[in-house]
Amino acid sequence: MTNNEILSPHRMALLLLVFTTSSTIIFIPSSLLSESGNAFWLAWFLAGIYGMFHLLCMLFLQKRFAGSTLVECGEKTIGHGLTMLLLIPYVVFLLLLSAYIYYSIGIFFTTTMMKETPLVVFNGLIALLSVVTVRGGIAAISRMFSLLAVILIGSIVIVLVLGFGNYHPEFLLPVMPYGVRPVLHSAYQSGGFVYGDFLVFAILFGFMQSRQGGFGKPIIFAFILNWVILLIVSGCIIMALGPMTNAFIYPLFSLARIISVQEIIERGESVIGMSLIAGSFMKATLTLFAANVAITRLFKIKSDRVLLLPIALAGFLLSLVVVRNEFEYAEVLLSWPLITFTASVPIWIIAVAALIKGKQKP
Amino acid sequence: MLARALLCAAIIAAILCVDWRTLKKAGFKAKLIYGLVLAYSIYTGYGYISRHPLPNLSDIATVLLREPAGLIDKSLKANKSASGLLIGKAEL
Repeated sequence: MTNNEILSPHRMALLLLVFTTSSTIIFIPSSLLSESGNAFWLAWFLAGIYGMFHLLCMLFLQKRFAGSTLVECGEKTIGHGLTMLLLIPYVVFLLLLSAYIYYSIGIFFTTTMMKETPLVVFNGLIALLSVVTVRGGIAAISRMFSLLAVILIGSIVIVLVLGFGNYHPEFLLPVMPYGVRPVLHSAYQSGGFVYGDFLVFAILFGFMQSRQGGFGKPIIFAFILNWVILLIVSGCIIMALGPMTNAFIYPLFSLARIISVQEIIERGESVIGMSLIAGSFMKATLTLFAANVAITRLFKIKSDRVLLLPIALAGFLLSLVVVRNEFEYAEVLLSWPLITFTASVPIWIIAVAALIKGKQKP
Repeated sequence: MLARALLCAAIIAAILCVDWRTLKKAGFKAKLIYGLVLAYSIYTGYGYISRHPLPNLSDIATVLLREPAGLIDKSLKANKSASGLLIGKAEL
């Protein structure tokens, strides 16, 4: 891991795609479909618009301060002291996000496949794997994730294609039986999850080759591709599970379970389980990388390696205590969109400051 | 409890062994921040060992945002969920 590794915009777009798609396949269909039901596509659209604003804000900062992370952008616009103060909620968000990712992997395994194994085993293994990967550096991460992205997206496609026999297009009707409020609720939830979590890219974009310009196109393309994947996944799930969609926490996993093709190919949950873990691992790695870089640069520590292990340890231990019971987890899910929104405030403030400063220049 | 305490101690010992050389070369500020993050980890780890977690970052976030999140949830939720209606229709 070195401070001066730079990725091409295409590689960064791939990282954005795997990061957002990882969220898409685990929780998003659930939060997108639970309230809005058949009007999910409207909620999907609103959530995407919300995410696009964040993305454009982060890309604007890259255009103004090429090759700078959010910390450096803040230092150049509002000064070091104010940046440090403003980024406290952002750093808390990164730590909580890494803890919740470890927790979500552990709870997924202990509630679906390996019920007797303690949570600490899964959380610990994923944390350890993330540390080892982050130590390899952003260039190694991007090379490694190119391969995993194929597995991730490939397995989603396989499950959706094999589940074709279970689709009932009539489940897509009626649209909006309870009006517009549930749609807004779903947009709030899914916008807060998938398009809130990807605020980690405010740090990661600093490792992108953005001096020549034209870097925005592949990034926006990756964002739109994820948007489309989310629409297709949600549509297929509601066509397959219909009225029962609300009953499942992991709808794509449930869809994989009911696959049956001529009694030859049955129950594809292992395929989707594999991609869920690959996706969460990639997300955990990128979050840990961003948390490490953010804290290291905020305190102006020369080596990016020094704080990596204690930060990963903090995230791992936090994942073991962060949720005490199911009721608490529901409360976390409820307030998470607001946590991500709070984390986005410093990014917007820095962007506005950069805009004002740019205009003041003769 | 003993097993959990031993696990945490082993992990911290392993981390210190790995980082020993890097820490020796690092400046005072890096060592201080390292110590603070490790102290926070031990504080968090105490909750795991004793099964009685002390107030943490997640609690602060939840306390601060619980009320507005609840309000948003309440104001946007339909009286009966959309899928509830669908289940009713499917049963009929």
